[in-house]
Amino acid sequence: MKIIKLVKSEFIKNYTVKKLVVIMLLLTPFCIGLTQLTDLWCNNVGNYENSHSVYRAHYEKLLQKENLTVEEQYELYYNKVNMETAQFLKENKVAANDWKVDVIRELTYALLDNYSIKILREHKNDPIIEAICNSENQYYYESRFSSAIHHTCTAYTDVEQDELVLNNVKLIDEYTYLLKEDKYYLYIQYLIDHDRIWKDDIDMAKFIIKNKVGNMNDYRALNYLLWTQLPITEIKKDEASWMNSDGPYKFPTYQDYVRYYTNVNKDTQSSQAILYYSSKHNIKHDLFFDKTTNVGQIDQYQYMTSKKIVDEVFYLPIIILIIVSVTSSGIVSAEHNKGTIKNIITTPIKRWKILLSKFIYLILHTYIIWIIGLGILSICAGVKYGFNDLFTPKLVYYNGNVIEVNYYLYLIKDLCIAGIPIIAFLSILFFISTVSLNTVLTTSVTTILAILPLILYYVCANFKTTFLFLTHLPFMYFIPGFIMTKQEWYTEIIKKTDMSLMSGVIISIITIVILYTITNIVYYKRDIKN
Amino acid sequence: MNQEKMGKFIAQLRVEHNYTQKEIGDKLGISDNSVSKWERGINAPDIYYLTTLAELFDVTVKELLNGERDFKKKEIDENHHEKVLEISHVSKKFGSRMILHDISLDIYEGDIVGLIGPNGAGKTTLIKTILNLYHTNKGTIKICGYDTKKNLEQALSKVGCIIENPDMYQNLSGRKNLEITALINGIKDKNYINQMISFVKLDTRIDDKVKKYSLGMKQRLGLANALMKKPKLLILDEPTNGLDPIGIKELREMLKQISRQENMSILISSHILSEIENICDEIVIIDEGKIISQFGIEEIKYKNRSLEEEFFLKTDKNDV
Repeated sequence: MKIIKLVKSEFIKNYTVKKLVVIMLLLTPFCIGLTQLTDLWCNNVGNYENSHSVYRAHYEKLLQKENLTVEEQYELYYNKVNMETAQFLKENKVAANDWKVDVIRELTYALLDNYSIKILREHKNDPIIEAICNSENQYYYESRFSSAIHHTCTAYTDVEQDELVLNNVKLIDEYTYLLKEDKYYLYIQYLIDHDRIWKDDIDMAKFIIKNKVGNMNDYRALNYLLWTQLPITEIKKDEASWMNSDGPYKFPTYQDYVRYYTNVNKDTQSSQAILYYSSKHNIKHDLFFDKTTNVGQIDQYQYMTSKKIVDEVFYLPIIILIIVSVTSSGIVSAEHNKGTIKNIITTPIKRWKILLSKFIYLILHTYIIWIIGLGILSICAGVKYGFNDLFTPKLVYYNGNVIEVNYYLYLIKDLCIAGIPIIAFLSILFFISTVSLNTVLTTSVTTILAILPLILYYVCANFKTTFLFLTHLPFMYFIPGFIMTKQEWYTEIIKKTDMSLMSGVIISIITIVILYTITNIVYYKRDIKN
Repeated sequence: MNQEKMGKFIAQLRVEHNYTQKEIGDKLGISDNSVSKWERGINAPDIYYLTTLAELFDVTVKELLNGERDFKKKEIDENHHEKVLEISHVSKKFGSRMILHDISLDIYEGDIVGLIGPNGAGKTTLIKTILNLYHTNKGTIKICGYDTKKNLEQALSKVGCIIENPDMYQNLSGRKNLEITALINGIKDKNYINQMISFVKLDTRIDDKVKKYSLGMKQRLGLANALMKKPKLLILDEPTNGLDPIGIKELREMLKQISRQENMSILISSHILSEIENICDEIVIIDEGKIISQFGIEEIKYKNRSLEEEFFLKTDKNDV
C-alpha cells in the first residue's frame, strides 16, 4: 500500500498538463513521419519526375527551334508523347507495377508507330528517308528516328502499314477508354478478349472480373496473387544445397545456412496459412513481405492497411527512450540535488520501497508515453487509410491454425512483452541516476544508449559474423520493432543469429535483476548527504 | 526566581519527607541554621545544594527554583517516564575520520532541547544519524522505544524534521507539497491539512508555487510539513537560518505553542544562542563529535550567566 502511495506521489510531483502537451508535441511529428515512411516502404509509386523533366527539357528545346528537320520533327513528337505520359503517371501516382504502366507503354508505341508511318508517307521522296529505308542493315541503329523509320518500312508493306494504322487507332481508343474508366477488371477483360492472358493467370483473371476488382492494389486481388506466388515447398537445408546455392560466400558455415533458412521457412509457412485464410474469408491481412522473401518482387504486390501503420508502434521507442532520458534521468539524482530526498527518506518507509516506487513510476511513465504514441499513430493511420481496418480482427498463426484476435488486445499483449527490453533500458537509467546522483551524466549516457541500437543494427547488417556477438547484449532489443516487424536489413541479422523477442526478454530480465539489485545495495548503504 | 517561594517549597518538601532541618543540614554538610535561612527566604542554596536537594526530595532543580511542582510532567514521569529519544553510545565516521564519538543522549516527552556547538562539531551529523540519513558505525538510536535499525518505520513515524533549508518541490504549490506528505504518511483528513496551513499562517499564499515564497514562508511551510504526521519528536536543524527578527519570533512562538499543546519534544540545533536560550529548557553542547556539557537552562539563569558565556566557557573558545 505504501508503495502505491509513493508511486501516486511521483505522479503528482512529475506530471503536469504542460508536460503531457510537450510529450504529445514531440510524438506527433514522429508518428506522422513514421506513417509516411511506412507508406513509402510498402507502397511502390513509381518515380516519374526525372523522366518527365528530361522529356520536357528536350521537347521545349526543340519547340523553340525553327525549320525542324524530319528527324527533329520526329524527336519533338517522341518527347511530347513521353512527356505527357510521364505527366499522367506522376499526377495519378501510378505504382511502378500497375497495369496502367503497361497500357501507357503500349499506347506510346501505337502513337509512335502511327507517326513513323505518317512521316514515311509525307516524306517519301526525302533522300534521308530513302537512304534509311534502303539500308541493308537489318537493325538500323544510327538513331532512334532511323531505327523507327527503318523498322516501319522494312517490316510492313504499304497495305500492312495502312492496317497497322487502323489497328493502332482502334488500340489507342480502347486504351484511352481503359485509362479513363480506370478499372482493373475492365483491363483484365480486355486481355482475355484479346487472348493476352497467360494460362496460369486465367483463374486469377476470372476472380478479378467476377468480383469487379477495380484497383490492382485491391486486397482481394493481391491476396489471391500473393497466395499463388508464395512458394509451397520449403528451402532444402542439406549440405549440397548450401554448397550449390549462395554457398559459403553468403553463409560462412553450414550452420549459418541452416539457421537462416529455418527462419525463412517458418515465416513462409505462417504467411501462407494467413494468406489462404484471408483469401478464403475475403479479409485483409497485415503481413509485410520484404525483398528477401524468395519470390520475384513480391514486395510490390502488397497493400497498405491501417494496421500496418499502427504496427510501427514498436519503432516508437526510438523517440520514447530519448523523451524518457530527458524527462526522467533525475528520478533519483534530482531529488538529491534539490534536497527534497530528505523529506522522503525521513518518512516511515524503508529505502527499498522508496526505490521500488520510483522504478515503478518510471515504467508506468514510459508505458503512458507509448500508449499516447499508439493513439496518435492510430489517428494517423485512420486518417490515411481509414479507421475501419483498426477494428477488424488480426490474423495470427498459432499451432498450425490461423485465428482471429482483437487487434488492440493483441497489441497490448505484445507491448507488454516487447516492453521488457525497454524496462532493461530503464534499469540502466535508474542505476546510473541512483549510483552517480548526477542528472547530466545520466541523461547523456542514456540518450547515447537510446541511439545505440540504430548504430549497432547498421554495423551487424553490413559486416559479417565478426560483430554478431553484439546480439547477445540487451541494447539490440531496445527497439523491438527491429525484431517484430520485418525490414530488410534487420531480417538478415535475425535470420543469421536466432535473435528473437524471447531471447531479448531473457537477456533483459537478467540485466534488470542484476542492475536493480546493485542499485538497491548501493542505495541502502549510502549516507544521504544532500 | 522567587527566593521566598523557593524557601517555602523547600520547607514543604522537608516536612513531606519527614526530615528535620538538622537532618537536612547533616546530609548537605551544613548547619541547620543555613537550612532555616533558606526556608525563610533569606538566602538561596547554590547549584550544588539545589541539585542534592532535588535528588533528595525527588523533584527537579527547575521545580525547586520555581517553588512549585510541575504536576503534568510529574504525572507522566510517574506513569510512563517516556523517553522519546534515546541515543546510546553512537559513533559515526566518514572514511577514517571519526565525526561522532560515543554520543549518548536522552530526550523526554515535552522537552525542548537545544543542540549547540561550533562549526564542524557534529550537530548536523548527529541529527542526520538520528533521522536515518546516515548509518551509525556503533551504538543504537531509539525513538519512542523503537530501534531505528530494527523498527525503522515505527521509529520514523514518530519524528518530524526540518534539516537545514526546508527543501520542497518548487514547481508545486505549498498545498500540493503538503498533500504529498499527507499521502505518503497515510493522512486522509483534508481538514487537518487546512489546520496546519492556518497554524503556520500561510492561508493566503498556500496555493502559490513554492518558488515564489520568501524564506520565512518556506520555513513555515517546512514546519507544517514536519508537523503533518503529528510527531512525538520534532527535530529542527538551523531553523532560523536566513530569517529576519520577525520570522524568528514567529517561529519561536509556534514552537512553544506546539510543545505546550501537543506535549511534543523538540530538538533544535542552532548557532543563534540567544534564540536557543529563549526557546529551550535543556542545552546540549557538542564539540569535536563529543557531548561536552548538558544542563538545564535554569542553571545558567541561576548562575546569572548568558548561554553565550556558558558556551565559550565550556568549549574553551573564548575569543570575546
